[in-house]
Amino acid sequence: MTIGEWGALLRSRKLSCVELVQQTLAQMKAVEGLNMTITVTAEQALAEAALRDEELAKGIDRGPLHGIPTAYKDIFYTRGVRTTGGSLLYADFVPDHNATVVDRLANAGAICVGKANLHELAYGATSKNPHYGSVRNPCNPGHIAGGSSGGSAALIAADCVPFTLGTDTGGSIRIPASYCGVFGLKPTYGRVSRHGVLPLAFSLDHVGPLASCAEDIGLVMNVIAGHDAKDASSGDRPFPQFSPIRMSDLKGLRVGIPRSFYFQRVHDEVAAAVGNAVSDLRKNGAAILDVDIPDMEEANTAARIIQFGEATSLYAHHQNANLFGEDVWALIQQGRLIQAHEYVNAQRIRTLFRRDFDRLWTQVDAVIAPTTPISAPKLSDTTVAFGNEREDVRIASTRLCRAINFLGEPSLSIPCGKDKAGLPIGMQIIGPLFAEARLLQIASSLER
Amino acid sequence: MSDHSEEQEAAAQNHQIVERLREVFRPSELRLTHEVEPLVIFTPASLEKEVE
Repeated sequence: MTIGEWGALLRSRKLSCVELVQQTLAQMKAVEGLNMTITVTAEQALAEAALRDEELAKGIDRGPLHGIPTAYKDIFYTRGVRTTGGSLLYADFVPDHNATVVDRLANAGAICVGKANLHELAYGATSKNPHYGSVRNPCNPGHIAGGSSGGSAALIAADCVPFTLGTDTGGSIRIPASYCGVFGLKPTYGRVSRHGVLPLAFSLDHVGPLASCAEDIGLVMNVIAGHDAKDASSGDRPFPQFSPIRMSDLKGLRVGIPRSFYFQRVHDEVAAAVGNAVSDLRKNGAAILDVDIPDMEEANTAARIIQFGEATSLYAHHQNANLFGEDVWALIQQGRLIQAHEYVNAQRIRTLFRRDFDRLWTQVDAVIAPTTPISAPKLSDTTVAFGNEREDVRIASTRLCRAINFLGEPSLSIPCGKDKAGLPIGMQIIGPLFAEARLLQIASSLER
Repeated sequence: MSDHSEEQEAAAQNHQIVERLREVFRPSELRLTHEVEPLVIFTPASLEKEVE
């Protein structure tokens, strides 16, 4: 069910906030084998729900999120509730303040029922967490949920909560959204505050919502977007109302389909599902144009160098490999090998790519591409086949997402079908800087 | 002893991964002229905040 549907039940008194939280906790218990949460805050959530009920009885309505249960990826600071980062390093860390976005959602009436499991330190795309258990995909528990915001996506797919928060440094919102069949938005860099969120790579990290429909993504963005003086990277550009989504046909909208990169080394079923969605956009009035895009492999390479440098800067002082999962420790070690001039040159290449993309946006209003070249791999898979070639699951999962973090553009992953095994397929709608509302409009036209 | 050789193997693998990345990255570095500056992490706006 959507935020709007739950809200209607609460406001008509057919359901109380306490009953909704009780239902949520019961559903989380029923599917706890999926390892979607690290901490469940049942007592606190029920107490908050009682307060929200009292407010409604007095005629105080905080807005569409009043009384709506949610969960935060366990790298968002929550006052008095441990925030592990999915790591042993922070196993006992209890913040004394909330992340800015957590405060904003609490003020809007949302109720946190727990902290979502994730890839250790948000540094990976599988959410196979050696310390807190692997997040399993609700669509098929033998498959990964994707990462790093695996628990955040899975909780929505398992009908536990209607929305969650995640973070995205190289695809970490969009990949699990794609694998679990939900919506996930990586907003423009600087659009949503990162204050009080454990960092991974300062110039690539983004905070964003996951939900079961475009409208709900907009409702959450209405609350979390906007300037935050506590975050130096936060932009102060005014933003539109993201919800309600402006309904109109797509006449005049120019949608670009990349001639290169995004449809190469992609499973046939994925390409076909995205192709069907593009046909629907054409029927809805959009002009579909083939476009040349810059060399995204080059952008991915520079983005990986930046991520190595910035992530290792956070953990370079650690020498004890036993505190880390094997994969994360290897990435930290690889980051130690990156030289200063390589990091700076990667940031200079970023400047060139920004100019290239500014030119691209004079030709089209949005670009459509698969989010991931595959549906969710099995938990036991370490590589995936593309014809005769095999690719590391982690590289394949991030390949079509990473460059957009490097560029800072917004990208919305939406479900666009299922493969023969019944696993979801995701596609991303990428737009110019600060064009999130347009992406939601395009997504909404496909939902209709 | 086996721990030590495992460590050495992991270190060699890490070097190999970064070296492969470097090979792809070198042609990119060659297209950088002196005029191309890095995207800065702090901006005039953030500096203004510092002096407020």
